[in-house]
Amino acid sequence: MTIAHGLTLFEVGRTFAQAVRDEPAVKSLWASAHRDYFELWLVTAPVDADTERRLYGLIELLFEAFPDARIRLHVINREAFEDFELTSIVPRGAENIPLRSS
Amino acid sequence: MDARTSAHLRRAERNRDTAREIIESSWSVQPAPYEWAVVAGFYAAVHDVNAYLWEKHQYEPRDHDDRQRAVARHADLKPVLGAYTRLRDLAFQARYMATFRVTEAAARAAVSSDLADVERAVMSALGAAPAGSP
Repeated sequence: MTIAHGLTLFEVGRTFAQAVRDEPAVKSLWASAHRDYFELWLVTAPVDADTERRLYGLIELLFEAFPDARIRLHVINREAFEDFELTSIVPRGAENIPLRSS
Repeated sequence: MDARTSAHLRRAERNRDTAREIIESSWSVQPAPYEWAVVAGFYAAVHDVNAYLWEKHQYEPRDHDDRQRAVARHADLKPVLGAYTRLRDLAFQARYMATFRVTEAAARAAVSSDLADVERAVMSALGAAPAGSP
């Protein structure tokens, strides 16, 4: 899917996947494209606030790589959900971004 | 200090006080609505950042995305990008995700750590004392 400036969901997702691939708490990464912005959904194991804060700070890498794009980052900490059900959190149609090359 | 800057700081303080009062109050609603402490805390951070941007750069962000980019762009605020982004997303999840729960401990951490970090960065850059300081 392509939006402004020809940037693709895959490019944004792949860039962030490279940034978080070695984070032990990270379980999966999902990405969705909207009319004028991208959303990334980073699913983690239960993590403390400091770890969450550090993961959120990685959005800086995306801002630097894609200076004209609107990008929103959601860290989905399983521990904060009742009856955790990923399909009720990540938008329908979101793409799973592989964290590691196969 | 510019009048618009002062107005943003006053609104930030009011929102911060609201967040704290939600946490400290006794509620008949159960579980207590700690999610709204996070939302109020985020809007305190929004006005803290707006105060900084206006006072230092005469800039009024267009929207949340623009404001978050500004936090990342300015050296005074960049160290709190993670805290600001966390507050923004916690407030988003609290409002829109039906199964997301904010515990008392999580609300306290968001206000006493994330929001406090943003406030300190802004006040330091403005050469002002954080609200409630002696």
